[in-house]
Amino acid sequence: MTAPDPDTPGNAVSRRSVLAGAAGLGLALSGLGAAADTPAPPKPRRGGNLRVAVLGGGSADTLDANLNQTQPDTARVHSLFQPLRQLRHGGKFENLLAESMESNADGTVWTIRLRPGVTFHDGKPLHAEDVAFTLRRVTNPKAPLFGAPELGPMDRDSFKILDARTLQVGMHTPFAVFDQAVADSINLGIVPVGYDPKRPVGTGPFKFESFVPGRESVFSRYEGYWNEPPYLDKLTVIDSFSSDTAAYNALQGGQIDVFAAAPLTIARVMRPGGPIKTHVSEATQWTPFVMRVDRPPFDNPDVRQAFRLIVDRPQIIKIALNGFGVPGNDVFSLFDGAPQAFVRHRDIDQAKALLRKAGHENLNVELTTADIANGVVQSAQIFARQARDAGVTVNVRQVTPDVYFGEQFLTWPFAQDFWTFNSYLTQIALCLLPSSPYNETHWRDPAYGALYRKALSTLDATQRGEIVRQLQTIDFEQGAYIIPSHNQIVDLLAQNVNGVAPGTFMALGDYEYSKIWLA
Amino acid sequence: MSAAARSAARSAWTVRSVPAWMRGARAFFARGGAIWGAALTAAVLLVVAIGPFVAHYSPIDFVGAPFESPSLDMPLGADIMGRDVLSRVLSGGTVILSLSALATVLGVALGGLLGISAGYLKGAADDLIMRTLDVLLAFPQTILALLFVSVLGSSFLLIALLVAAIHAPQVARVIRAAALRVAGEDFVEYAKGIGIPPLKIMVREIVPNVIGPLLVEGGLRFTYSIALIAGLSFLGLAQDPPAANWGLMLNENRIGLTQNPWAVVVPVALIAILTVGVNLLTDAYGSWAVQGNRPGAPQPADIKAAEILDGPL
Amino acid sequence: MAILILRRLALGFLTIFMVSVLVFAATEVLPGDAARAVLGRGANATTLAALRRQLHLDAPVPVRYERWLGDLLTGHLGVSLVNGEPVAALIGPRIVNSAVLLGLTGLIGIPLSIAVGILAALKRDQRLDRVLSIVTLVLAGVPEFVVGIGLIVVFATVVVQWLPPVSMVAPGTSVLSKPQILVLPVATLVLVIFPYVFRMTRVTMIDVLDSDYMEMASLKGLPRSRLVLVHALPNAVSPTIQVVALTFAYLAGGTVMIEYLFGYAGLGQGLMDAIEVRDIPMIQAIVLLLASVYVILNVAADVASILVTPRLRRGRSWQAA
Repeated sequence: MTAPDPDTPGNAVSRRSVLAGAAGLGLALSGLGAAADTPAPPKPRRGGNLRVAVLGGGSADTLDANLNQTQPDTARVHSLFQPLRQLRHGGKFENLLAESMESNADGTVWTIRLRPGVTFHDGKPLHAEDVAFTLRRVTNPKAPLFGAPELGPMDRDSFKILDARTLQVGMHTPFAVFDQAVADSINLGIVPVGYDPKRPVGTGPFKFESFVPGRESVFSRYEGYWNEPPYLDKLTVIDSFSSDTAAYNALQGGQIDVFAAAPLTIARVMRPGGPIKTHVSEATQWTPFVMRVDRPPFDNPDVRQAFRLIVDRPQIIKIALNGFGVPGNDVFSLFDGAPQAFVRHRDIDQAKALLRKAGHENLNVELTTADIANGVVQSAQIFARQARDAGVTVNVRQVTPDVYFGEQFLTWPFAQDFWTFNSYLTQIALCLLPSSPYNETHWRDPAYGALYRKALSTLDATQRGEIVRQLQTIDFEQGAYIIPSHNQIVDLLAQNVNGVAPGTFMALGDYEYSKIWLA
Repeated sequence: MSAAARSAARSAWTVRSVPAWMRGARAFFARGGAIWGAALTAAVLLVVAIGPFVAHYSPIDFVGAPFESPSLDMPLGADIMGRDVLSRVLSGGTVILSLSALATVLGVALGGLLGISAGYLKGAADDLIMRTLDVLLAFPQTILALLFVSVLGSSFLLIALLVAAIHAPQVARVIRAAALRVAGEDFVEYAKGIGIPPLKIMVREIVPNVIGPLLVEGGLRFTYSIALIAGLSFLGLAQDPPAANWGLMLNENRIGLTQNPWAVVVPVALIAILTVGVNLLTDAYGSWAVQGNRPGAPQPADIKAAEILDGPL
Repeated sequence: MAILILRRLALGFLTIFMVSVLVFAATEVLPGDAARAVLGRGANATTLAALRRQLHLDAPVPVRYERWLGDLLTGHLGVSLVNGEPVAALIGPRIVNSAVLLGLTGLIGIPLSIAVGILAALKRDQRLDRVLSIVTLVLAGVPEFVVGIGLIVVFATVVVQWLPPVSMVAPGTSVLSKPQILVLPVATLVLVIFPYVFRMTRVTMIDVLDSDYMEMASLKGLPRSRLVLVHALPNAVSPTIQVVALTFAYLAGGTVMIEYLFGYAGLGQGLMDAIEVRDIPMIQAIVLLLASVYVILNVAADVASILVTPRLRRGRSWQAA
């Protein structure tokens, strides 16, 4: 069966239903193991304006490539900027703006070679100086930006421009995973020398048109894009919706094409073949319970372990995440080391025994929660119920996100948080070192730090993996995070939105706009 | 022979005299509407009264997957956040009824006070009070409610005051008419003549004589309060989630009608039963009052306009 | 009689004026700090000062009211605080949509209710009349959003799926381009107004049928159909004008709930959206508009009743057919 011409408007409706039926038939047949004669995938069509709704915006919206805070910010910067490398499906790293990144023998000097033919939106070619500028900008000691902790040992005064496409970067201490650390599309997009966030210029597939904070921003196709230019003519990111319902209604009414990172509670109400379809990411986000280890009762590792044993992980996933997640095992790594080696199930007897040993039977604690991500508040309530089985009383105190991230952020004795995916060692730099900006558990373990530094200086991947596994063992046996799940992100798309990349970590196929097209 | 005539004939022959109120009640309930009205209303009131105590789960606990289908454990399934629909239904009427009751009491008190003052004081004061209230009457109820909510926000007390303010003008009108009648009576003139202060006259003489119409208006207003407050709850304005509220449940669970309809169907049925029941009762009272020329009997000329103007919302 | 009508009209104007005062007072004067309420989290010294200047919050109250009223009367309804576009432009399409909804409701609902009302009066106390009584009693009791949800449950989601459960169209598209989205909202509103129009018609018709005038006409030996059509109907219909006006007046307020329920892009939904984000100019414009329509229709109803009553009295002693 040949796919009908997608450019004929009159065919649109019939084609859509044919596709829906054919796809369904194809899936059903392949499920039965029969030889399915699925139709060739439809040809992408050039043109159109993709209207994406993302919640969480406000007057503090920004287009700064290295300073974006909210979901809408992230949705925006991905159209304009790109990092040197990127993290892909299955945890593999790929070069993006970098053609290669090589380290010297002991990981103290890295040589970055840039891809040729890359230009910024103003036509200026990508130069090694721009990379140096970006990395220095992010690590400015007077005003460090969000990517700074990830770059850790990088010596910002050691940049050597070898030629237009090559630069050398020195490290204070050996940094074996520098090439992983730079693979952060959220915080480490490359900007040109003299970058002005108000008139942003980047190397991404779209260029800047207009921006109204708290309302919408418009981007148009960059014809000089170094890779295949995007199919879409325009991209509009709308963050003026004040509630999930408003955005969902707008999607139903045809006023927007995508509701990115939609609430999981409604992700299953779509009728298959109806006007709205869902797109699900990999399960990589995590929303842990966070215990402060520098104060009782969580200064006692037995109490921490007991709490981890209380959790019924599948129940939290079913209720709080509507099934959109996989069980977590208190180890935040997904691809590094040996994550599959760590499995934890609920064990109330063991939990009670540990609490008794610690002298904390009938413990009473307060859990601070806020509506900061899908399912967080629900999992707090569910955990409180589960804790009763072990004789623990958990008083859930809900505050607004403003208060949660306000002055007391990082000081709550027992709270929750939410993290997007970072590679393992990068994550440690962000939250488990004494110098980490987000050390919410107040974790200060010299042995742990020493192991971490050793991993950083081990260039051999296999050996490094061994060290990482040791770190993970500490996480698993003594750590202060309870990670009940790894969560998926669900986007709601109009039926005619195609090309959203599968198997990714963020919303909307990691915001890979260049591959998206409108039927 | 009509039912009323038959019962009148019957009572004419009884040896022992039946107290007047019993005769009245029998006449009232002789109307089919009244029995149904009482039954339906009582059924819902029972659910509201007992519900919170027999619910299996707390109405705000997350116990299932969003819009999970009914099971033995959750007979009506789960709502959008995974809470037990049955438990929420059992406690979802409390806010609506208590708000309605409070708003009615406040509205009748406020309206009654204003009506009595206007009727007694007459002249300029009367005009001022009634003209001011007329401005409120110039708005459709929903619009007026929305205007104030948009400005003042919404909390339990605010909504009660708001709905009370919406009812006050009509109550004031009715009470003013009653107060005017009483104020013209001789004993009031006499009291004024011997120098009893106006406030005392109002309280001592006028109030007891308008209690009848006040109570009737109260009943009528209660009916409208329920519909208005259920509507405001539906619009999400009556209170903050997560507490259970039938009106709010309708709104938040609409999106999952195809997955678990019970989260909408049961609350909407309860609202329907309650409002129909209360309406049947007030209708029955209306026609019974006309028959026996009792207080609160709608005048024939007004009945048509009033029905439309005062209808729910 | 002319004096009565003029007085009523004057009272109507005065009422609309008072309505505008109330709307202004409520939205611009009452709440603590209107600017802060609007800006919410985005409030800081600069934005507050700018917004206060934009909203003229520095001038004294009567001056502000004058300025506001003057603007309104010259067609300057202000600028939406959400997207900076003129309120008049935003409201225009919504007015059309609400007009379509209410127009269709009236077009279908009023003749239908009147016809059924007349039928019930003619077959008074028979089975049909009894059944209709019960139906009306139930319909009159339930709030309108309950009727709407009932229809959605039966026709759009749970029982069958013949009709769309929401009545949304892409911006810039006319609601008439997808007529199926109109069915349920109109059906809901028709069911909502049915009890009142039906009852009114039935009662009026019964009054007329029982009147001396009708008795005289029937004593003359006129056939029943002629009695009904030529003598009864014309006199029963005139008070109905009053009912129609009052029905539309009621709908002016009732449309909010139904538009919100169905996501219909009319004035009612516009008001709800504006309230959610505290878009004060939009709130003012829509409330004023709906309240004025309500007042005008009430005045029309009163005027109609003034015009009608004497004729009815005359009709009773009418000799000729």
